[in-house]
Amino acid sequence: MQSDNPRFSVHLCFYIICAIGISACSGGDSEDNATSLSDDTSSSETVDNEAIQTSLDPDLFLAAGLAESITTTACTLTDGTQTECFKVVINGAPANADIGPFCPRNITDDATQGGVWFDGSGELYQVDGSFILSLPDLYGSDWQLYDEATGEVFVTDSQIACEAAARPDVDPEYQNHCVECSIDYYDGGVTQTLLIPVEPVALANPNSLSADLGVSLNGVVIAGPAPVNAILSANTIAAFDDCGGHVNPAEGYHYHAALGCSDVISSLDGHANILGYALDGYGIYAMLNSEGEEDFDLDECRGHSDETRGYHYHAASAAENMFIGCFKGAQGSITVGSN
Amino acid sequence: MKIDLTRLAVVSLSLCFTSLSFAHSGHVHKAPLIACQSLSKGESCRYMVGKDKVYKGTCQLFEETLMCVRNQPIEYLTPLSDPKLASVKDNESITLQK
Ligand SMILES: [Zn+2]
Ligand SMILES: [Zn+2]
Repeated sequence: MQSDNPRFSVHLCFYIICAIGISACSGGDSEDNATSLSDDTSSSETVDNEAIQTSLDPDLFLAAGLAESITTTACTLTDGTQTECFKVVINGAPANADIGPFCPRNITDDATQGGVWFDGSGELYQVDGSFILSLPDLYGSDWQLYDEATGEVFVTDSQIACEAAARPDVDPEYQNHCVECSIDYYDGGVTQTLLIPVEPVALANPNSLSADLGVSLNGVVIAGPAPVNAILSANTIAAFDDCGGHVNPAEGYHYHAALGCSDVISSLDGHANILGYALDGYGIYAMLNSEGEEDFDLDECRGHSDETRGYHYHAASAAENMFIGCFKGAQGSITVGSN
Repeated sequence: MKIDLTRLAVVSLSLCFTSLSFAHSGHVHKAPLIACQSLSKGESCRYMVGKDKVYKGTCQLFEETLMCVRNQPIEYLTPLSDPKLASVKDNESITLQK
């Protein structure tokens, strides 16, 4: 929100330097599958996970989150590879959940009247009245987000206020505010188009993340870490809803954390549920498997391979303010509009 | 994307001062950043969350900032199981660098 539309995000994170497919579909890769099946060497040899790499499965997406059916088109990836991509056009609102609430209105409000906040420190906070009261202890004595006489929380409750607060140089008038933007200001959702390679192209050296990194199965852009230092430096909280998303003027509603709202397909083999796809075409799965355990073999991007899915990522916890750590494959693209 | 360099410099400076004031606020929300302060991309890092959780991973770049990306399950410390970690925490240096 504040600051984290892609442009602001790039902008702001720049500032911080001072302080700081389950697809099963596809049938693609049949050549490799055939090789492994007909291989006349011992069947006990190591599985080549490249051979079973799954690709994005359009059928996993909830149709209500899409502006049009998923198709394929020619595309060029970040490493220059010219290939075929899925074209995923989202309408900017989650298919299966309401957007918000974000900020409580009074210091007496309970957790149902606000969303959540995370600053990357590993703690996940319910943004209720008590949280607003605790801000001076958390971030410093110059934090005062409510009217002491009435208990009313200072919230950016108009489009003008939201846009004045959701920019790098926060209007001083909106410092010490809980910042939220209604999706109603942006026609109920910002349409965006993602091009995602049908066949992921693995990179020898992973790419660092861009401002946006993928799309969830319920039709929401998955963003990189929210620029919390910049947000906090203006004494603002850009509250997230209980799904880990919020709204900014440029790209509308987007997720900064996985809180279960995109787990629309249940895994049958005990593996974590798939929740979306990264721009490089690899699937993103929840953090925990059906036993509530994490994997021990994740690489620097938070990914690993198995015999069913091939390479894929596992999201971090919401409190870590991120989904994945880097791109293991060459990326497609994301643009505002349906072009 | 347009970057206004003058504005960037001014805001960067103000953020530098702001971050100084954060240093003693008691809550280190920058632990994943501090954990990679003197490290390079790809190097191992770790930091503590609360008094009993250790997050271990590698430093990765987000825009221009290095941040510790956990890639190992969260480790829960039992009291006195690791006096070295406990003493580091007591010294308010939440970051534990290898
Ligand atoms: Zn955001
Ligand atoms: Zn997995």
